[in-house]
Amino acid sequence: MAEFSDRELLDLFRQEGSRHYAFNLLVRQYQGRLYAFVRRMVTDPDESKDVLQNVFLKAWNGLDRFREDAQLYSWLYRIAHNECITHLKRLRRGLFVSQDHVIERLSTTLDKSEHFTGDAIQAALQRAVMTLPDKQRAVFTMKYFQELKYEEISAITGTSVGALKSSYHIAVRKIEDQLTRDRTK
Amino acid sequence: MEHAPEDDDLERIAPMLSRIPRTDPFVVPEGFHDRFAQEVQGRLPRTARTPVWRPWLLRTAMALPVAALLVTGWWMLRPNPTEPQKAPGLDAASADLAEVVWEEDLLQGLTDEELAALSPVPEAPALSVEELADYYELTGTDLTDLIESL
Repeated sequence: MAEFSDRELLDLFRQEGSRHYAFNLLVRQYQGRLYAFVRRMVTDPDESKDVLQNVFLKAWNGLDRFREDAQLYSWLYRIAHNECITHLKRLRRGLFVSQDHVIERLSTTLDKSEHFTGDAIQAALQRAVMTLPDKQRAVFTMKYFQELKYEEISAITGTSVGALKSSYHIAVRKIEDQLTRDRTK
Repeated sequence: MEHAPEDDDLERIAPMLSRIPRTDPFVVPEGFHDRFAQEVQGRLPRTARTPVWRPWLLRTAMALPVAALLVTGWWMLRPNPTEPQKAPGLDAASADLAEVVWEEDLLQGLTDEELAALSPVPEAPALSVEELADYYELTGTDLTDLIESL
């Protein structure tokens, strides 16, 4: 699919007759990258789909107020980030359980081959990522798996680059410790 | 996959992590991306976008009854044109004070006799019928003449 610039998509969106068409293009353009992020955060495919749909519904409602001094992608990513954090919080509250139980629930996806094709070490890595606090996990996912720059993550999360670097390095150390512990079991 | 510059540091602080391939191990359900955009479209409201002027119109419509109440209140409390008008700019106390000042100006330069003449004559106490009869008898006033002169 041909990539459209933010300007092209927004111009089309602002014309009454092509509003839905423009939004359809926008969804098609960004759904892949956003899904990868949401899936890493939420892991369950059905829940990931629900979260991503909410992301785009919120984008639909807010696109009129979108300020063009930011990138459309960063703005969508920010909505996705917030939706994932909200979803994980809601999950914890709804189940009235500890973080360990939530991790256990999220990990069930990793045991099903139709949802996860990674080997044992990749499953171990994913479990280690799940032990991180939600926001640290989001930072690690964006930096390590999605390879976003600190400046981009800063625009998405509203956190300073310095704080993000610290958070990322702490996350890396925690994951390394977890992987080492798993290996020695 | 090409690694970011920070990855040299990563190999040093997290050798195990840095050896794990970064491929995405999560399976995307078949046809997900083909269907997803359509599913999102299906959840979007089909109604026309709210015109920019509509919220403005709504605010105006809400403000109108308030404005009407204010105007009605002003109309009911405004001074009645049929009532006698007070001197502009003078309330009751100011009017009394002006009268006193005006009188003082008038009386200036008058002699004591002239002032005494201006003083109201004290009213004579009312007489009873018997007293009045005695008075007319004493002064020799003919009552018939008196009645005719009235």
